[in-house]
Amino acid sequence: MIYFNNSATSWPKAPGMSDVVKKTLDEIPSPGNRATFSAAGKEETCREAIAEVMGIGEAENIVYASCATSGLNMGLLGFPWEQGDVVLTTAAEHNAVLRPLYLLEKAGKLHCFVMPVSEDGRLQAETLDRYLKEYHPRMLVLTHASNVTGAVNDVEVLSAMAKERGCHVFLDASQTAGLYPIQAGKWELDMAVITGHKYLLGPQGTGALYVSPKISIAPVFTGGTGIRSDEKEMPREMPLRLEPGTQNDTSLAGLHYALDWNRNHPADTEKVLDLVRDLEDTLRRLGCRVVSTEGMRTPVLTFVSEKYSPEDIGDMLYGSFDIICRTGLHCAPLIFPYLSMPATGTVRFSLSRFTTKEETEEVKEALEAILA
Amino acid sequence: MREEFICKKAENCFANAKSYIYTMPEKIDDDFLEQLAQLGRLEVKRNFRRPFFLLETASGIRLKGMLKDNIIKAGFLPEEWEEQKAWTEKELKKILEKRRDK
Repeated sequence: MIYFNNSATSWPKAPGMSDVVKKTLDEIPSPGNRATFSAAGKEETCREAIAEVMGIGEAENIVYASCATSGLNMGLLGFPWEQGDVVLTTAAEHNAVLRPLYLLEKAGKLHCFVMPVSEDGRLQAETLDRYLKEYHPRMLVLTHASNVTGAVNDVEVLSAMAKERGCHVFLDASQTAGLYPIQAGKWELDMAVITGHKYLLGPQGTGALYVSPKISIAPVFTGGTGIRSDEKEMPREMPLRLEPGTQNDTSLAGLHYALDWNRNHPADTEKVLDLVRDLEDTLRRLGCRVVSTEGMRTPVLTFVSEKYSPEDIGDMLYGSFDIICRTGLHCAPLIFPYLSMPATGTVRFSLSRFTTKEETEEVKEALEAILA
Repeated sequence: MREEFICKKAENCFANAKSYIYTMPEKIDDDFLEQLAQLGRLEVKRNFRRPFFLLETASGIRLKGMLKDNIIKAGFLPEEWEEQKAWTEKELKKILEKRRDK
């Protein structure tokens, strides 16, 4: 089996991680109160490793989430919106960003404007400048990289522009964590999310929300925290304020291991991108329309063929050649007109640091058989 | 052995997609494809590692799957999917009956 769906969920995972998850499951759980020595030790270490990945110093501003979607919901639904607030977002966003915004807009909490993106899915500085001047937004919510094209946004520049106009910035770094540095502190982000199960090579069900100490958000979920149990409200201290209930300790142990593994084995992104470009050349030779993503990018490529629908190509690759990819809208339904791609979506290949030349050669042979 | 197929709705990115998966009681072979070919334009990709077939009827019904497998994926037009689904199931049953009578 060849797995080309890493921007959805990575596989394989960090070598050795499953042993750590199993060991954690087999261990006796620590006492319920999280103030105990054993629980605090393990939990804080993973939190610190996440803080390092997100480029911040204070681990207490990292809130565990079950994935980026969960973190985005916590951040957006818990933010103290005021009458007349405007939010800017981009056409490259995943539904994890769009649907909470639609929900808030429907509830009358904010007005949302979707900014156009370039032909490879990037938010251009001039576009943001125009929208900032016209709409005076309270918040900019944007992805670090398009999950459809792989194009990485210049967040340092875009965030600085927004901050200059007093606009909060919320970054979805699901697609870049593990591939490119995230500098939440340096870029003065107000909030940011990552997920553990993509390029960080961690388990599904892990992720984190960073909340800047400069802002305060209300808890979306409430419940037991192990401390101040005699009070009716959630504690004010972060991260407990936003973390009721039992955490996913088993998977967090796996994520912690994966983060350590990543630190010791940095991804050779250029090597993977060479394989991506080689595949793109083959697809173009076979008459496919491929999105041309220039500059900084993740190992993702998107294409369509006039010969077969994306779904047919995906079915043929999987059924006849044991190649797993993703077809359709990739949960980012607004981007396609900007890429000059059909509204019915595309075929997406997303490679991993573990993808080999032998695998891409096998995929090229399959594509020849299908599309030549 | 089952004599009927099992039908299950298949979801995809589109809310109004009408895709269904049919698990046939027997594997698709050349004889089955011959029968299927009478329903529309059949394309068989025999050069694939596991041969693949695609069929499109005049009314726009699409059936696809692999030879030596027992799964057929069907796509119906959203505006007339109920009639198309009923017609397809009737035709699939006819093929199964014919093969049983042989």
